[in-house]
Amino acid sequence: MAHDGFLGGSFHQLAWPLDAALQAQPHAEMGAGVGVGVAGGGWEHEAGERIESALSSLVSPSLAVAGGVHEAALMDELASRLGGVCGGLGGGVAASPPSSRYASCYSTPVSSPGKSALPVSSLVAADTMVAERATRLSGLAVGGPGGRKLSRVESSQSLLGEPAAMAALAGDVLLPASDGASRDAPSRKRKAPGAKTKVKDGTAATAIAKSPEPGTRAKRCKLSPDAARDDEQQNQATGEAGHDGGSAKGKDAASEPPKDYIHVRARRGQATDSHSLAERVRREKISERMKLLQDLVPGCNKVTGKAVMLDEIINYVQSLQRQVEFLSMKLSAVNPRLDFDVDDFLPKDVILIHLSIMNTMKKATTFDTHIKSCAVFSSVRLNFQQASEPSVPAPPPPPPPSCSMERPSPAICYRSSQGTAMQSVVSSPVPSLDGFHISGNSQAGSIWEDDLQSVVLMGLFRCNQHMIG
Amino acid sequence: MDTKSTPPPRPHQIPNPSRPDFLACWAAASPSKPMLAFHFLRALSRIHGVTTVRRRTRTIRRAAYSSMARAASPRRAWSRALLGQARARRSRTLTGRAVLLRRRRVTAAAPPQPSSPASRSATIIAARGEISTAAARPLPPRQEGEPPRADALRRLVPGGAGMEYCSLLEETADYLRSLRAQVQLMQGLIDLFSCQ
Repeated sequence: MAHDGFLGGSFHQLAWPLDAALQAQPHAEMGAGVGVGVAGGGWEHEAGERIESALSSLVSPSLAVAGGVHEAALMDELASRLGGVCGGLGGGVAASPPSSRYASCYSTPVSSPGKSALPVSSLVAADTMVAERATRLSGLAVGGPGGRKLSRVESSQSLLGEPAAMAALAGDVLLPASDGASRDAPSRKRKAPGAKTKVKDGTAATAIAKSPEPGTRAKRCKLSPDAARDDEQQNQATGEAGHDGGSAKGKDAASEPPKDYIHVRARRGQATDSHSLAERVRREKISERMKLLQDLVPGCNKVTGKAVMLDEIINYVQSLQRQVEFLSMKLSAVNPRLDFDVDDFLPKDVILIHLSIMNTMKKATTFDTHIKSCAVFSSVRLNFQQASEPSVPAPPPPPPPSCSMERPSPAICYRSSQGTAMQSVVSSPVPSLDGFHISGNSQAGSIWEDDLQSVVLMGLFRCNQHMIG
Repeated sequence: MDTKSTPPPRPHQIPNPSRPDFLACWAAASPSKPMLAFHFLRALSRIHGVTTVRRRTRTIRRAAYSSMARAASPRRAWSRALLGQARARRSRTLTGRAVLLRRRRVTAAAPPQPSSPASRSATIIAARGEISTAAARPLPPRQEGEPPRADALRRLVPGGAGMEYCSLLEETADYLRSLRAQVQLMQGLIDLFSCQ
């Protein structure tokens, strides 16, 4: 492969079921793809577990599509395996908590050295080996209790295109062989599987749509090995290089540069050189981000077309910036009152009192009270800043709301020691704010509540630190 | 304006935005509201003690953008650009000695900032030069699928001049989120103060 990213070149070929599942679950694709990539990178060195995860990743997207419990478990297994490798990527795979039961029974058929060659076979770049390995796999699939699980796996593969599944799997494997071996294979790839890809496309498309029950799966399991064997040989004869049928797209590219760990299939009838592929990836990225922006900008749902969307976005950004300017003008006029109020009180008292009020009233503390406490808090920070240079305001993780319950009790004691005069001054304006709801901004109030509460708590924490230390 | 240190890390982990598959989870990440409120309110209190009424609007606006940039993740190009603009503006208005004093205060809080006189003057010159070059920098040549209106967007979003169209859209999305949070904060502040 020309360019081996983090996931290795052979990752690409195994992703055929990913494309099938791509429409259904774009997230699953990434996780499964990553898993396959990991396997692709690892098969040269060691078999077994990585290949196992690769195989499971192969089936997991299809399984996710099918939506069965076992499938989810396999996917979770994959996700857990991938966890160490690719961080959050494995999390992209939708999964329920892994069940050890399935993990164990999936690993049993594969853990043994002889059978471990089976998943390896899917990646080994040898045309002849593929047939026998695949047959062994299918044979295992029909086999014992462990094999039953594998058969389910295999049958799920068949979901994507019954006879085509195994063939595609075998065909997928051939790609590294062909790429590594010779370049005339690509030409054969393009010409030969024309009809085959159509068949696979149809089956894949239909397979994705339906949700099979376990009963039918058993039947397909029996059918698939035989059909798979036939198809395999056909594929070998045509020198097909996989990755075709799994996706709904047809032709594969002769040189498939993996782009940003997102493996792109060239669509039917489209150019397959690396430049156009890169272009297509870029266009897809841009369209994804335009969709994001569409969600951000209000009132853009009806708008279609990138040019109009861009105009809307520009208008919205401009309007927001104008709003900031206007609000800062208003703030410069309004604000002096805040300063006056704040300077009169002892800041730490205000915070403590306010917290106690907040917790005792148990009302949904509105936006205003939080802002008020934050304003006080900010002045507190400044006062303390002159005393001792504060470090980076790296906030400790916001203490859970339960912590605030303990704080008011010393606060109340403290307040009583200070005398009641200040307390009355402080508390009288505060309760008046509680009833006030910002018109039209109640949603903003709810948004700001928890966050600002945590800010206040942080300030209180820091106040205590300064008071003590 | 704020001479405080770099913003603290955001509480939640943001998935790598270069992978579009995670744009869904990435898009859900909103700017850190507590930090926004913290920085902005602190700046506000400082402004009202210091600035004259005439220039307060401008100062508050700059404080708003700076607090927005501080509350955002430093991985964001627009936040870095905004903070760089603020720093350049400050160094432009200050004389040499004042810059030394201010830099000393800043370095006490944030070690990464250069404190030596040589680097300081270099920073000032670089900042001044950066402003001029930023305005004169040609647009990146790789704009294949980019519509003609994109340069207007580049002018709007801070730091958008040197970016590809793809990343420009990303930055715009994050910038929009932060802008909206900032507007909400300021609106709430005004309502709070005006009803007292």
